[in-house]
Amino acid sequence: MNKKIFAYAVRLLFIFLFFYTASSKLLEARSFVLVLKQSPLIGNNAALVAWSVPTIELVTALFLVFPKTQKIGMLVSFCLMLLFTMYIGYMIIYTPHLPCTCGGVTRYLTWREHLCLNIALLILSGNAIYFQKREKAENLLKE
Amino acid sequence: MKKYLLGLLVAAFALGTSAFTSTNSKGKLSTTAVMWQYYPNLGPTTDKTAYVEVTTGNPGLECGGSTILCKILANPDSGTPQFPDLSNGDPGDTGNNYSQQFRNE
Repeated sequence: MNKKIFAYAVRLLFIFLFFYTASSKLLEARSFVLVLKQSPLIGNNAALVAWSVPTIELVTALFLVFPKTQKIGMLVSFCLMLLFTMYIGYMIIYTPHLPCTCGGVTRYLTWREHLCLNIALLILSGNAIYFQKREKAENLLKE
Repeated sequence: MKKYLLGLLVAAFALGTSAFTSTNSKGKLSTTAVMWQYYPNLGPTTDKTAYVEVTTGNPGLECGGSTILCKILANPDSGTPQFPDLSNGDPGDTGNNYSQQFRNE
């Protein structure tokens, strides 16, 4: 039961996180594009990334809201967090002087603080996926 | 319905929080500013020629309404016009706030 609550809490956390950051990025789309343009990794594709990232985040968050799609939503969340963590790692190594292109209050974090936050979220989502799978297996055994 | 009601409530709360923080970040900026914007394609951060002066009548709009971006582009505390101080090398390396490289009028 505790594992079920944990997975549920993680799901709610990611719903909040994705809705919050995606809407922040969309509300400040212009500055988001400006900062992304300075990124050596994104550069010319700044506009495309600026619109696609929050869109994917919103779709993922909607997946997490509905029970039928929550498993795929959790998997996509994990993949997104992995991608963001790798991007942060790249920025720390190659362009630490550039600002973070994160949405909302997370932009006030330093790159290293952001990396720690992302790793923690990555571990949480990984555990939630594991618990979901384990719960499913246990339910099958009971049947 | 009950199964996803809490999820929808959390989503609505997130959207509200985002709108609130976004609105709050605007209006904290002065009305005129001269900024030095760094362009990576013009050279390394240690090179003055990699910085382009941008004059704006409304930093809030020019910075896309983002306080944090304006801090990057302009230093609201500095009243003295100056080129970016790059004597310490890359601002990223020295740990300086990037905003210190820019001035405000």
